[in-house]
Amino acid sequence: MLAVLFILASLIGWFYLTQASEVTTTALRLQRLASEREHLRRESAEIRYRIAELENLSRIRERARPLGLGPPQEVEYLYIESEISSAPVEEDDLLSPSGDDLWGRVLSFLQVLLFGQAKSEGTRGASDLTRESMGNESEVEIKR
Amino acid sequence: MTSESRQRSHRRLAVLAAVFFAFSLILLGRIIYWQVVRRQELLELAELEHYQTRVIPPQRGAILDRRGSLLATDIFQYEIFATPRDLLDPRWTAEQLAPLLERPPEALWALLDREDLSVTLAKQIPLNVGEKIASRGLPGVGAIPLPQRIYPEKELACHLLGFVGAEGDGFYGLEEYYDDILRGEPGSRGGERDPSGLQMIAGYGSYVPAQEGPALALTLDRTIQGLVEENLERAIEEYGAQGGTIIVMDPWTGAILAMASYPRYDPNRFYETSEELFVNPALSEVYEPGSVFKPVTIGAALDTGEVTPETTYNDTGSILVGGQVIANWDWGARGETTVSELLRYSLNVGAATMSTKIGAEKFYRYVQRFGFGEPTGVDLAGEVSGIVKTPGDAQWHECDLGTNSFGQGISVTPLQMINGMAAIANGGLLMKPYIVQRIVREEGVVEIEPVVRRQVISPETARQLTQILVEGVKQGVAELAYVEGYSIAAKTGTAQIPIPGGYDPTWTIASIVGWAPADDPRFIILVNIDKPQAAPWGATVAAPVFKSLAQQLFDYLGIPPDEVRLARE
Repeated sequence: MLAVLFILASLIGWFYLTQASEVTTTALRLQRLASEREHLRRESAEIRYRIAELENLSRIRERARPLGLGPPQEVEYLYIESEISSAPVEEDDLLSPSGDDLWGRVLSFLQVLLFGQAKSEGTRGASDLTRESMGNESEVEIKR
Repeated sequence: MTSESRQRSHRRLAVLAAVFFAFSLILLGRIIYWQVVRRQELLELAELEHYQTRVIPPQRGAILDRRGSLLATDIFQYEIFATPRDLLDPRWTAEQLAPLLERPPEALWALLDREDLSVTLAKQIPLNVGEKIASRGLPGVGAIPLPQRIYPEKELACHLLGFVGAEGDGFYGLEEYYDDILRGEPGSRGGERDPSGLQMIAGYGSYVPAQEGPALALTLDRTIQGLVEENLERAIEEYGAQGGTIIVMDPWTGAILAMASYPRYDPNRFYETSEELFVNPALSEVYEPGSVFKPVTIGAALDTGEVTPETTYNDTGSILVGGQVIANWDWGARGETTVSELLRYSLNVGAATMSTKIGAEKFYRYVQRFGFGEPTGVDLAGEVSGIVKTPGDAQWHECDLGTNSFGQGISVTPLQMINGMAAIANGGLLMKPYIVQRIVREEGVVEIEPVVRRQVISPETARQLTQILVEGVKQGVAELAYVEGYSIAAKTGTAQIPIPGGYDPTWTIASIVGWAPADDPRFIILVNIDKPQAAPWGATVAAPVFKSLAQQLFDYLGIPPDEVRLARE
């Protein structure tokens, strides 16, 4: 009976000590994390300021000058006309296979096989049309 | 024992019991007083004995331009202090601190070798040095990190930003107007202490992180602000002027793209600056605008339908209004003159003719609708209303109807002037100017929408006025503002400066307000050059500044000449 009581008391003691130790360790860790958070907050503010200082307008101006950079002496705007981009696009054109990719080539082959010639012949595929109009669309170019 | 002595004994006992009872009552009362009435207070006092809380100062919210460039932020700097009674050896401590604080050890030792409870050794110590000192753990030496407001662009936009004082309060500009929002929430860190003052790790503790104030993202463009300040400084030097103001706005929304005045100051070193430099002349100082005000008069005349741009009047070179003779700026008489020509050649007689034609009631109604005589409502501290005298006011005189028509005897702020003209540029809407585009909080972003205050004139009147002003730049008095290839609407002014008993015979304020492209404006600019020595006229002093800035804005904003722009559209 006495032995059982002794073991029980030891267990309770061990349990209490373990808990107390765990609480202390966690409290210490929390304290360190809070300090670290504060430290990082201060450091982050400092870095943000250093970046802004490096990006300072007058500093950039001073650094740019020796590199030959400065305000443009002359700016010329060119208007480039394009007829292709303004041409209406038919739905069939957009749906027809382009022939560029594997699936398109297979379809073209089947069309030639079945109908003698590809349906899309003489028309532009959607991807061609997009590419072409992108290359030629009305745009204002800035020449400096 | 006789009955008499027994009775005496009973009386004594009764008195004693009464005294005890009274004392017991007093004690009970005191116990109730301390244990019940002042319980909380005592608990707090007891807690203070073993529990210490340290306030964590919050970072003030940052201020950024429209592209995210930092204009104001907080960094942390350390304050180093010592408690002399806790020092191990003052001389040794001084020797340890001297190289870090870059001060002679003798000077520090003199501070440390005192009986004072606490001594401040240094303030505004850089973060890395402060942390080094804190990490050394020198007994009796403490280091507290404190936020410090800093402006990385130094003088840039100083009047607009304002500054933060030593106690953390915002003064002037945005710092004052948004002080409550920017300052954030302080945090705290507390814990139980042992009798020697050291924190008990296993004790009860708390940590509430400080909350940084929300950031303000402005409508201001740092690059445009830089260009504006560069042009302003150059003009002041070139014309020998005493000061000046330039404002750039988006006329469609009222968003301020740049606002600068000269002389400037560095808000990082506000304590070295004369107080009068803190005031933002763009909204806190008034002036008599002079001829830039004429579009308001003509706008009123056109909008009431009393005249059209082609309506003519006979310009005899002078007109009598309320007993005062009003003459043209060049003392000339132009005979039969159209309303368009009146504005193109900036004729005082014509302006007075128009104001008297529509009458005082309608004229002042339009003046007020254009926003003169009341604050614009801009989100900056220190805005004033200006002075507009109207019929019925004790100081109003009939001759004011004539002089007010060309901007004399009326006081406006530069911001009111540009905002009123923006109403012509955008088709007749008076906008509320604003500088904060969004408030960035942790829980989300609050976007500020443009506010239309009222329709001032009809879109048709605005279009007619714009057309007249474009002609004024092409062939009229404002031709030095013309930029090749662009349609620009602008009006110059040469404002006289009132002094007691009349007007200053020497000095003027040369000004211009204009926008471009005239048919679809991307910006509106106001230029005021104060007291130029080289020449007094707005047309010769302010117009070239406008031209230079407008040219740079066309390039920066990628606005092609009308020929290209209209062909693209």
